[in-house]
Order: sequence, then C-alpha cells, then structure tokens
Amino acid sequence: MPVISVIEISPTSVEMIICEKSKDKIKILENVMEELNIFLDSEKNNYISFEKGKKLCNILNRMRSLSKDYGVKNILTLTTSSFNSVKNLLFILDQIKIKVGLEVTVLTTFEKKKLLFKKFLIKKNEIIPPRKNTLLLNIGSATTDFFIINGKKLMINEFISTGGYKFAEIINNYELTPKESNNFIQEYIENYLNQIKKEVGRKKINSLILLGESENILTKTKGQFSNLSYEKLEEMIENLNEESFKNIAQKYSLTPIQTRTTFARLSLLKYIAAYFEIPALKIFYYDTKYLMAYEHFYPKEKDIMEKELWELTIQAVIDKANKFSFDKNHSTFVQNVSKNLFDILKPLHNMDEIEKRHLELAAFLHDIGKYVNFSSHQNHSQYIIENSFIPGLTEEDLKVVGLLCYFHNIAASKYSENIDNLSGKRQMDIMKLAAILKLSVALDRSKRQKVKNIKFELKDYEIIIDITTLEDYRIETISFDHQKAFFRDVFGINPVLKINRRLYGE
Amino acid sequence: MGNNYEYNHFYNRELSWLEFNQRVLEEVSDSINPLLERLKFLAITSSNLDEFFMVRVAGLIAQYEEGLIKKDISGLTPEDQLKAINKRVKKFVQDQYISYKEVLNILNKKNHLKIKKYSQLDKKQKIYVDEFYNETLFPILTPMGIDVSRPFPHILTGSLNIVVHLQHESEKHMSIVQVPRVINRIIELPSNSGREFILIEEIIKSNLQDLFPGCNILDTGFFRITRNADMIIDEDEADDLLIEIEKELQKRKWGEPVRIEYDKNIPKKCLDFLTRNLKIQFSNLYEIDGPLDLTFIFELMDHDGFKDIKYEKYTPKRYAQLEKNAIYTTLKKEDVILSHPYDSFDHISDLIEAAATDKNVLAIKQTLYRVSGDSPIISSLIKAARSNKQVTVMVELKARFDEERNIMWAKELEKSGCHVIYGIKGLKTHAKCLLIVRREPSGIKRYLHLGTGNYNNSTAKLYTDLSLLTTNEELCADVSNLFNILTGFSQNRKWKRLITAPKDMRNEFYRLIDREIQHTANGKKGKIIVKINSLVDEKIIKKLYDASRSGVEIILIVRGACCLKTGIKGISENIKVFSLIGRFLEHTRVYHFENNGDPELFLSSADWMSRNLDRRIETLFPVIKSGPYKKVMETIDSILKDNVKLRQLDEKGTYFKVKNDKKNFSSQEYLFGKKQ
Repeated sequence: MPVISVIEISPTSVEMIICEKSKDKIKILENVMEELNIFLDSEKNNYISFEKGKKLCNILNRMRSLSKDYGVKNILTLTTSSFNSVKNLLFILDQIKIKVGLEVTVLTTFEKKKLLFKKFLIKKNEIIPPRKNTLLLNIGSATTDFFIINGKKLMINEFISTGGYKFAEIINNYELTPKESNNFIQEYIENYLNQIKKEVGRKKINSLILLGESENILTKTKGQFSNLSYEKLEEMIENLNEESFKNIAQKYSLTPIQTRTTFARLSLLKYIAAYFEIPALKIFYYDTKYLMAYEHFYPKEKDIMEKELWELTIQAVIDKANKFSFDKNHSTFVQNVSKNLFDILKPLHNMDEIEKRHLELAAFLHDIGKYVNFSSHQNHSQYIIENSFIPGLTEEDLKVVGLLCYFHNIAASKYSENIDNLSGKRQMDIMKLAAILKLSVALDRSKRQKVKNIKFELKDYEIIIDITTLEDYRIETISFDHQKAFFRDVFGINPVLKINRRLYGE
Repeated sequence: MGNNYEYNHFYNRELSWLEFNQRVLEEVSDSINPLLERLKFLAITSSNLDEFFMVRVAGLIAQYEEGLIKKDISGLTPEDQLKAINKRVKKFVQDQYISYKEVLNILNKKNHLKIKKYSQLDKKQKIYVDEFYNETLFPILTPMGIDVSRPFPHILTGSLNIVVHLQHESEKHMSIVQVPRVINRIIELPSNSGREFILIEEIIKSNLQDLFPGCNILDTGFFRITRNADMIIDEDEADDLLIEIEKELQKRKWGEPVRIEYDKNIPKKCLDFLTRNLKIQFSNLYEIDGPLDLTFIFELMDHDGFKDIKYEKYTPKRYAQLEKNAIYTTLKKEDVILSHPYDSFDHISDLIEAAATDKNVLAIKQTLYRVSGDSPIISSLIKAARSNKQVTVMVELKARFDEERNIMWAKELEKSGCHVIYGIKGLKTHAKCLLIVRREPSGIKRYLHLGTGNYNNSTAKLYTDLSLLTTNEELCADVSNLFNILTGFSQNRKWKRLITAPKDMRNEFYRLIDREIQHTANGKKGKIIVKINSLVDEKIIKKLYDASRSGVEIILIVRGACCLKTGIKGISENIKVFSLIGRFLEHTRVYHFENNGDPELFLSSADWMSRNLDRRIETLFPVIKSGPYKKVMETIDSILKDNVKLRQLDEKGTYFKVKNDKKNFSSQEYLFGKKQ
C-alpha cells in the first residue's frame, strides 16, 4: 500500500502526517508537530534568520527521518502564502532543497483558499444545510475570509486583512489580558463587519461554520465536525476572561502563541456570531495535509472535486460579471463556441482541462471592463480580473484569464511584450487560447447571437466553421476575416466560415 | 499535614526500605531455601545496603548539611532520619553476620564448602596461595604511604582496603593497600576434604611484609568506604549530555564518603586514623564481624558444582506461536502476555533479532534503561542499523549505576548508524517500549512490546516482569507518538490508550481510585489490587486512605518500601499490604481496578513513587478483558494464595509470614511449573 508524508510549514509550526492508502480510507500512521515561530521573523523583518532557517532544516530532517521509518519515498512539503513576502525565501527554499532534499511548494493565498474550498466541498453534504444561508468562516493567520453559501451557490465572498496570528501578536506585544484582548478584537472587527453587513443586506444567515484549528482544545469539542452553541461559547470566553494567558496555556497544554491565537480565533467567532445573530455554530476540522494526501491517493476523487469546485467558480464568475453588468447572452455564446473550438482543435494544441477553463472564464469576463469605460475596455477587464478573488482560482489562473481578456481586443503584434517572461510553451498556449477567443468573439460581433446552428470540421489545413443563420451576418463575417490571419498563424490552419441560409428542417 | 492525616499515619521511607532489606535477610535463615542460595540472599542485602548508602543516606546527609529541617511524610527531619537509620543499620549488620556465620557453619558441617582463613590453610594450600600471591597479586598491589609529604589517598568507593601501621627505623606511619578489584575476590583452594575457598584479602594480609621490605608491620585492619554516588547534572548547561555524564561519572568515584565499614579487629589507632581523615558524619561507622562486603558470594555462586545447594535449574517456557515469523501471525490475531522469568524473555530478544534481518521491517524503535553486559538486543539493533533499517534507540544515560554501561552502548549504537537519543531534559526515560514497523501486503503494520521491566536478558532471568505484545493500532500509534516526543517533536495529539508520566499518569490514578470511591458511595463494590515495588508517594497514599475510609477494599502487594500504614482505625482498616520475597525479585507493576464488575487492568513501568509519577517518562498501559487479562490476574491470584514466601504488614509495622492450614503453596514455584 502506498505511503506518503505531507509536511506543512505554517507561521508558527511545522507539521507532518505520514499516511497510508488503504482500501477505502487514508490511515494516518504518524502525526507530528514542531513549534517554530518563523512568522515572527518574517513579519518583522521580512527575513528568516539564520538560526530559524537552521532550526527549520533540522526539523525537516527529523521529519524526513521519521518518514523513512515507514518507507516513505514521496514527501509533499508545502508552505503558505505568508512566506511569499519573505525576502530570503528563495535562499531558504534552496537550503531546504540542498540540506534536506525536499522541494517546498509555496502556496499562494488563492491556492490556499482553493484548498479551503475543496475541504468544504469534500464534506459539503454533511456540513452545508440545503437552501439556507451559511457563513463559512476561515480565520487564517493574517486574513479572515467570509463566504456566504446557499446550497451550492456562493452568494458573497469577502475578506479582511487580519487573522488569528496577527491578533495574537498584538495581544502578546501589548501584554493584553484575555479580557482586554476580547474588547480589542471586538472594536477592531466592528467596522469590517458593518461593511459586510451592507452586502448581506436583509438576508438571514442561518448557520456559521468555522474551519477549525485548535479550538477543540479550549471548547472540548470532539470529532471532525462539532456543534457549539453560542451560549456555550460565550460562557467559555467569559470564564477565560477571568484567567491569565499563562494559566490558560498551562491548563490546556498550549504554547503561549497557540493560546493567544486560539483565544483570538474564538473571540472573533463569538463576535461575528453575535453580530449576525447566528445561534448555530459549527467547527469543521479538516487538515490541509490530509486533503493533499487524499488528492494524491485518489486522483479520480480529485477530478470530481475539481469539477464541483469548477461549478462554484463559474457561479462566482457570473456573480462577478453581473456586478459589471455583463452581456450574459453574448458571453454564453462566446463560451460555447470557444469550448467547441478548443475541443476540436485538441490535436493542434494538446492543452489540458485547466486551459479550457481559462478560456471559458475569459469568454465570460472579456467585456466586463466596459463597465468602467468602452475605450480600452480590455485593459479594465484585465485589471479587474487580476485584482479579484474567485473561489477555485489561483493568482496564476487569474493572470492567464486577465491576459486573454486583454488580448481579445488588441492587435496580436502587441502580445509578445506581455508574455515574454513566460516559457515558450506557455506563450504558445496563451496565444492559441487568444486566437480561439478572438475568433469566437468575432462570430457574435453584433452581440445578437444571430447564429442558429454551428458545426466545426477539422481538415488537414483548414477548419470549417459551418453556421446557419437567417440574419445579416456581415459584421461578423468582416470581424471573422479580421481575426482569421492570427488564428492561421498560430494554428497553421485556415479558418473557413461557411454560412448556411436555411434552417434545418426547412 | 492536610486532609486530616497525621505524620504518624505514615512510615518513613528509608526505615521502611530497611525493613524490606530485613525481609531479604530473613530469607538467609529460611531453611526452605537451598543453602548456597541462602548465602546469596546475604550478598543481595549487602549490595542493596551499598546502594542505599550511596544514594539515600548520601542524599539525607546533603540535606542535613544544607541545614534543611523539612520533615518527611512521617514527620522526621533529615537529622532524625540519619540517626534512626544509623541505629537500625547497626542492628541489621549484626544480624547479617550472625546469619553469615550460621549458614557457613552448616555448609562447613555438611561438607559443602568452607571459607578458610590464611592461618587455617594446610601446607599444600599455603604453597598454592603464596604462589598465587607472588604471580598474580603482588604485581598489581600498590601500597599508598601516608606521611607529611604524602596526603591521605583517594580511596575508591566500594573498594576493600587494608590499613597498615608501619615502623621504619624510628618512624611510624600509615599505609593503605587496596585489594585489587580486577581479579576474583574468592579463589578455590586445592583440597582433599571438600571444596575450600579463601578470600584474596586474607592472602594479601598474610603476605603484606613483602610489600614493605625493611619495615615493621605494627598493625593492620580491613576497611571499606562508601561514597555519595549522586550525580548533579545541569542539563540546561549541558551541550552534550553524554560528555557531561562521562565527566560526572569520573567525579562520582570521589564523592563525599558516607560510610566506613571496618573489620572488628582493626586496632583503635588505625580506626582513629581513618575517621580523622575521612570525616564521616553521623557515626556512620560500622564494625563488621566477618569479611567486609558480602557481595563476593555472587562470585562463589558462579563456581561450578554445588548443584545440591542451589535452586533447581529451570528452563523458561517458549511458545511455538511466538517463534520466528509465527509471532507476526499470532500478534495479528491476539495480544500476548509473557510472564518472565517463567516465560522466556528470549522471545523478545529473538523478535528484535528477527526484525534486524527481516527485509520487510522498516524501522525499530526502542527504549533502553538498563541493559545486560553482553546484550543480544544491542547486537541485534546494531545489525538492523547496518542492514539500513531505521533504528531509533532511546538510551537513558542517567540510569543510576548503569551510566557507564549505557554510555558505552550509546556510542556503539551511534557508530553503527542507529539514531540514538537521550530523552527529554530533566526527565529519566523509564518506560520500556519496543516498536517494530513492518511493511506487509496489507499495508504498514506495527508490532509493539510494552514491559514492566528492562530489556535486560540477565535480569529477565531473575526478576518477575510482564511483557505485553500487541498490534493494537491505538496503542501502537500512542507509542509512536511517545517516540516522537522523545525524539524532540512536540506533542501533537491526545493519547488514545496509553497513559504517560509525568503528564497524565498521576491524575489518571486519582481518577481510577476516585471511581472506586464513587462506586462504594453508590452502594456498589469498590476494590483495588495493586502490585508494585515501592509505595512512597504521599498523595497516592492519602488517596488510598480516602478510598479505604469510603469502604473500598484495597490489596497492595509491595515488595519494597511502603510508607502506608495498615490497620489505622478509621483510616486504613480496609487496606492489606503484602510483600513477597523469593527466588526471583518481584518486579511486575500491576494495577487492577474493579470498577463495579467491569474491571480495568493496567501494567506499568512505574511504581507509586513521586519520582515515577513526576520526574520520569513512564507508561501505564491497559490489558483488555477480552485479551490476556486472565493470565495477569492468575499471577496476582497466585501471589495472594502464597503461604510460603508471602508476608503481610501488620499495624505495628512488622511483616509476618502468611500462614494458613492449607497445603504449602509458593507462587513463584507454581508459576514456573513446579508441582505444589
């Protein structure tokens, strides 16, 4: 049975699970954690000290050695976006590679959030009540995400730039008591919540699910998914308010930083629940490391999960596009044509599902910049996309989608200056996607969806796009002719537009 | 004292321990024991007493010298205790040598063996002995003269010495000759009339003149000193614990002297000279009417023969289902309890040896506290490391009196590629765990051994201990976790079945005792049976008193020191304390809680001592009712049925032999299969 290790380097600790794939489940063989407050260095100086780097390598070496006890050959090592701002991150990663032999994957903020959504999706039937508004709360180290979901639909997604660890740091630096910390957190968060409340409007939030970390230690809740009443939470925080952090740490066997972080997280939870008057609180514990192992062991399940996440992504994209008054019919037309073209051209581009999705998203979003200004709207579309968060998409995904949207309305001669820092293959992929998108947009240039039927036929040196329309198709034909040269250059085949004037069955 | 308990509700730990040694001494007089074995019990008492002085008395002296007046559990200050110990030991030593002479007389009369004085040797023997002196002893003897220019020498702890009063021309001075420790202390003499022996100090003493040519020997006398053997290691400051302990071991040889034993016939002048130079506190001077340091009897036991006056040889049981690869199949089906020494400890050594060469074994993890001199376990671990298996060994460098040996093993293991760890700062790792990680077609499988005794093939033949062999996933995961903590990882999850000290064990015991109290409060039956080596923890004793007061029936089988008093009205009337001293050293730690008919049984590496519960890494592990529970309880039941070696503590603090009208029943003999 295959065995792997997954190591997660977080701002305050390094954790590892060693797990084995068994017939129907993943068996955790080892679960170890070593405290290491790297974040303190990186936050203050954006620099990981020599000592911390050395300690980190030592810990990773011990974890590697422990992995050997189980014959592990594959160790997945990841760290969070918090490290992206560290000045000497490249050096540290290089040292880890040389001294420990581990390649560390640095997750971006959005990659981490993508994982978070997968965690919810993997258990959605168990945790998300149908047809009710559920607030999914993710209190990270430095950010707090709010996602309001109704059934399968993502209604709202917002985040604030502070999280459990940041609060813990303030509590520690200013030597706040639990009571003072509680008041501080409440005052700090209130403004943000007022903003979110405006978006929520009069919608009632029925339940709140917190993605748990070490809350179970203080709340004494058990299981992967545990209920916690607001009254119990309030009572617990009131009791903790009477104690010192030192006492709490001793009582619950927590480290000082864990104590403050956990307290801050629970205080936030309590205040958010009170603000939105949510009585039913749930804490959902699902380890990122476990998820990585799950995806590694069950690639089919991963695909299913990706598919479900994709549905959520599409909803969020539509939601985003709606905010910018997009032309849904036009976008849907372009999406469909793009998809079909992508599929039929597969032998000529050999791209994967992910590139197809980038194309679909660009089809939806290419015109949203028009909301800002018609002129150079491609620039605005790109800017909006690159500065948005869309569940299921990483920064890299957004960059590609943004580029495609930008390219859809500028001359191909200007492409290279935007992509010359990418690899040759990547450049080629993006240009092929742009060529498809441009041709698809051209087929609905009037945005009136004149085409009643469309067929594609790939030949050796041409692709026949056979459309049926009864309407005047001149503007589209001109536009098509305008775009086909680039398409021909990129794919090495000539696009031929064949127009049928009769509907089938007539 | 709180909780309404008074000082007089407890025995002093040291005095109670001395009573344990007295019980061992009583075995010397027990005619049931074979004659040479009776002598061996004397050697055990002697060795026990040495350690007692090196550690316990030395500790009390240090407390006294620091001016501490804090009273112990029984209300005695360090000074009170030292005085009481002195008085008790003096009486004990007298009894020791009376017993020694008695048994030797019988051995002599029955023509089994004789230990001769030099003056008693016949001509042939004299020639033999003198030759032995000249060829073997003389070259290694170094007299150490003492005068104005040569100060009093450092005398090694435990060494036997001869003080010699000399006259050279008109000058008189003292000299000391150390009896060499590198050769056997007792040598067999050529004899036509049974087996005869002589102690080498007798030979040296009678040939002393050779060492001091031109001098006149005025007086001589034997003496022996015992030094403080406590090591003080500042682990915070120690960069390398192994090096730090090595340094401390060197110092220990020269710790403050805490006891002088001297030959009854030593002249006053010599004795005064010694006491003046050695500055012994608390009259810890013990006059010995016989050979000093009776541990030479252990050497005597090693001589061939004496079949009739030694215990009958026994062969520990081996089980086919635990041989070679069968053990893996067996353990996948069921948990196994081995009761040592009746069941062979070789099954454990063999398991490690098999693992070392098993291509499917990925890793071996083990704790080592006290290991035998030529440990097959160490060889197997080295072999495993050399076969590129992951071998993690937690060697406890601070295991008292085994430090040197453990340092040696640690270095050997490290050299072979084992990952050697020394545990957690400030805590001794006393837990006995062995974990084998094996890759099998169905996936990774862990095989676990948890014991009450050390991985020591020699003592495993002499100590009673229990071994649990299991593949229980929760226990295996817990022990993996324990090793992770020992290798420096922070604790990351809750224990599932294992209970560990110092973190949880004390509170768990409180919980278990409280549960019995609760049962009695609810009108149900509460009962506790515990078998341990020492019961000295004040808080646990108070908890037991609480339980007794609430009607819980408590049966304690405590081999050694027990500070709990039985029969105190209104306090401990429901508590019975037993002690079993026999051929094998009772060493199992068993905790049984009746739990109103749903009993919970635990084995442990820990006694009810503060050091075990608060300052050591220990394990308490369950034996489930559906598992080999019955085998453990049969052991306990057999002890309680014993009417040969079992003693019971009365309310006056005296241990009396349990006698009844039933046929003689010895638990140890029963367990190794001798018909009763």
